[in-house]
Amino acid sequence: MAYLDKRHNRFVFLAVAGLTLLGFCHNSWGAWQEELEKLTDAAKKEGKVVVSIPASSELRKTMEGAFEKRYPGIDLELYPSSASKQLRRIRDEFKAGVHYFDIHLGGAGSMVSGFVGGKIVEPFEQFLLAPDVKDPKNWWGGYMSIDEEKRYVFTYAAFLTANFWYNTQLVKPDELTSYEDLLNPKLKGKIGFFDPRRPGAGRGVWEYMWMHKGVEYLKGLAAQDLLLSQNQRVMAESLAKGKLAVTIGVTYYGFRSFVDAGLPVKALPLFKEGTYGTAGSGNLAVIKNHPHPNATKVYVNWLLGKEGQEIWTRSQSQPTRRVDVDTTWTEKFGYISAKDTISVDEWNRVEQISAGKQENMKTARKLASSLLPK
Amino acid sequence: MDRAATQDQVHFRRRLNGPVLLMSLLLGVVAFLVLVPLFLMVLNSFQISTPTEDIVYGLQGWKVAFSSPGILGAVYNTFTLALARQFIALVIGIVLAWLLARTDIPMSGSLEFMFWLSFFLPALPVTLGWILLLDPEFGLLNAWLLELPFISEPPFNIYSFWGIVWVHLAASTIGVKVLLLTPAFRNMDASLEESSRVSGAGAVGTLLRIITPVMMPAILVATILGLVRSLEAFEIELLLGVPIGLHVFSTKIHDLVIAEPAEYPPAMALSSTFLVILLMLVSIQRFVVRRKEYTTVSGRGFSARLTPLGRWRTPIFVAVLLLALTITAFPTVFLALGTFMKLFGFFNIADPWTLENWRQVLHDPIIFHSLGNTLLVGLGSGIAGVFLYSLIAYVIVKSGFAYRGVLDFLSWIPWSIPGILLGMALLWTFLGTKIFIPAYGTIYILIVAMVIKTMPVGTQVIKSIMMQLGRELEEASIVSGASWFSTYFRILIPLLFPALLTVGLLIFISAARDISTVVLLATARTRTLSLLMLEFATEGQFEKATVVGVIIVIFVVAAALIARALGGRMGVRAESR
Repeated sequence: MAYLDKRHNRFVFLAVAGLTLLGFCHNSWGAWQEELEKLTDAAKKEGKVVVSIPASSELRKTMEGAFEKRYPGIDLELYPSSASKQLRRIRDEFKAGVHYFDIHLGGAGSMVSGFVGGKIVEPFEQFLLAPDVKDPKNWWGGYMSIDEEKRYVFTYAAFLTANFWYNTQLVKPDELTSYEDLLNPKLKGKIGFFDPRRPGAGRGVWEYMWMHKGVEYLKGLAAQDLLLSQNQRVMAESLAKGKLAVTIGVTYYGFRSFVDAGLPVKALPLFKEGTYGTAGSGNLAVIKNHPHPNATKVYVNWLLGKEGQEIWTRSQSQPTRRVDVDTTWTEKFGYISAKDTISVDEWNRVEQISAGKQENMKTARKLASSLLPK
Repeated sequence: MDRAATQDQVHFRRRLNGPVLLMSLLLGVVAFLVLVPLFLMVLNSFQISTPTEDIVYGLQGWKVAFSSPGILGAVYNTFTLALARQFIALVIGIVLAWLLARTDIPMSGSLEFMFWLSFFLPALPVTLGWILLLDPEFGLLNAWLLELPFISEPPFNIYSFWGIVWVHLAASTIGVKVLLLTPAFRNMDASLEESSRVSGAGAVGTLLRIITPVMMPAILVATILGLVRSLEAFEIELLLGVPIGLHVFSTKIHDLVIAEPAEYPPAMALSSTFLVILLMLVSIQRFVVRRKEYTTVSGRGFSARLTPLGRWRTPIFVAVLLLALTITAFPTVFLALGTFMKLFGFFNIADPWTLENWRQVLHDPIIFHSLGNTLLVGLGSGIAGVFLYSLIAYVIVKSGFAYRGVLDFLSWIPWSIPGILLGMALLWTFLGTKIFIPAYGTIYILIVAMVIKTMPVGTQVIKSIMMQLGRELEEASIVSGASWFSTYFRILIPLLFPALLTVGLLIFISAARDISTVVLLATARTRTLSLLMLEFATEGQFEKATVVGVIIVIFVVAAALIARALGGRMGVRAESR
């Protein structure tokens, strides 16, 4: 009987604990719903939230449609543009006391050196209000932030990518399994590199090569008469037409139409030396003195919620870190979800986006400027 | 001209100081609008601190600019490309303007419109169209010609110095010359030509020794505008020159601006050289036209009789038509074709044609909003610009205002700032000037920006036409008791109407196509069609960008047809054709 009493007591204890936890969750979700309602009402009075996003019409259309359907009465003004233009403009507006933008979504480089370095962003934690957004367990790797103080930029995407594509009529995939294969004299004049002197996937690959293959390797690669371009379309066309045998740094979206048209272009499997980790444009920062504080909170919690992250991943193919969003399918587009394939420690080894790593990469960038043709 | 100015000086001194005050106010407004952006640009060329540091001034930007690798080669390429195409375009432009305005060539109105059309087409898809034809490895024309037994090498290479010159000539340089020169040629009294022929000169001799000197103000304006624009050109050079290592000044500036972080000080240092070049060119223009009379429309009657071409009429017509078709029909056809292709230029894939590009663009909620914004910016800047530029031109040409030379020079300045930097300079101007802050982020700030940008072309075109109007027309009106306002609106404006319409149309087209000036000033709600085209092009969706490009072309062609219909009713007309 004493044994039964012990089991009974354990059962009661667990039942009470479980019910308390459920009650707690329900209460916090309930509290959040109430707060969201108040925020939404206040946001409707503000009228809109203004977000600077990467140049993507698909992201613009999908996000605007979904958010405005969820929150009618709050206008979502999305301004797609390159990060360097937006950074300049937002900074100049800030200095003049003009506040138009609320939020910036973008790549790591401009975020760290420009937005955080320019002291024009607010700490992000105060904006994470919804329980599912605030709970670090819902994010692979917990809260991830690329700035030094880990306070200002919330990184919500994480993936591995190399973006090597080849012309199937000119080379075979088993001829290109290592970075060393790119030094094959047969490929001289036939390699296109998305200009690594500019922010983007080309720079990421160059920096990875510098870190893991060294300076002599890069000198050998530079001697291959690389075709450098800042235009993804031109490079994709050159590969499809056979002017090039391999391209480096051009993303799936540069090739999508060519793949759909049945042209002889294909993504190479990852090289045996591995590749680098990045968040792409999946970093969020809230601008200081943003003009629509309530609408900003509503938007941030929507974007970082399940729906927002699904929309982000689908339209950009850049896998989110949210554990409840399926990202296994993104590999066919050349983006390998970090949360599905590697550990957090491995991520910390291969990522190239945090402030410390970016500082290290300055040498690689100077090398690109000196080795590559002007 | 100076004799007339002296009489005007006496005339104005006798009147109230009101006009002088108004002209001073005009000078102040123009000076503010053009000198502040210029000053900010030059000032920032000396700012050497990074954007996150406190401001520090120094010469580092200038050192980096003028010691950067390849800068001398870029300068050489810039000038040789500009001079080559401007010289060719000027010769062709003068001949075409004379043929269209002064001779009995058939279908002159339609031919003139075709040359206008070449100016309307956006440069990027036009260039890609020519690459499709003339790429040395894959160009369709080269492929067809290689089928011929006596051709073993591709005869054309678009990626070359002359390839760049050709695309510029075809894309806009010839079209702009026709656009600017034809109204001026049309305003010439035929009695000058008749006197020349009666004295024994042939048609060509009359063109060279009578018409061209009389048209010198308009020719000089077209030349300077063309030269300055050529020095700043970079879109075509980026596509055709950079792959073969042929850099120009503006591609160097472009590289600095898009660097991460952007290197504005050296970019602005490099672009300051445009100001020096502009100073020289404007000084040459003022020196050439000083002390001379260019009146061709006066109070003693106006003859607009056409020169008969005789037996050369048909061959000349065919030659002009072929040229017009080459530079308009071909790019227009390929531009339109591109919108229906899955992949522009790929004819041999399975099912190359699709309506999906049009469907996706027309279903994008932003397209009609952008169309509305484009219409507002175009109309707003066209109307405001024409009003402002006609006043400026009047003061320069017709008044004795002591500072009219300063006003003339100031009106050129916006073109001394390359487009990619003008937007930046205007952003700083508007953010730094309290009166603009309420308008910041609205459509009105885009209108102000476009009025500033198009000031040189607008003012100079109206000015060159105004120089052709004799003073006796105004004097007769004033002697009859009309006020200055009445004379201006009832005598001058009707005579200037074709030119004003042309200028209004040019401003409208510039506003519809402009990217670099407005990209930093537009918001999500004031986005124009050109910025939407940029959005698609930036993310590699070239076919959708081409759809928006075609919509822009349809838009501006409709505006041009309306302008021509209105201009035809009120302008100076030739005798029957």
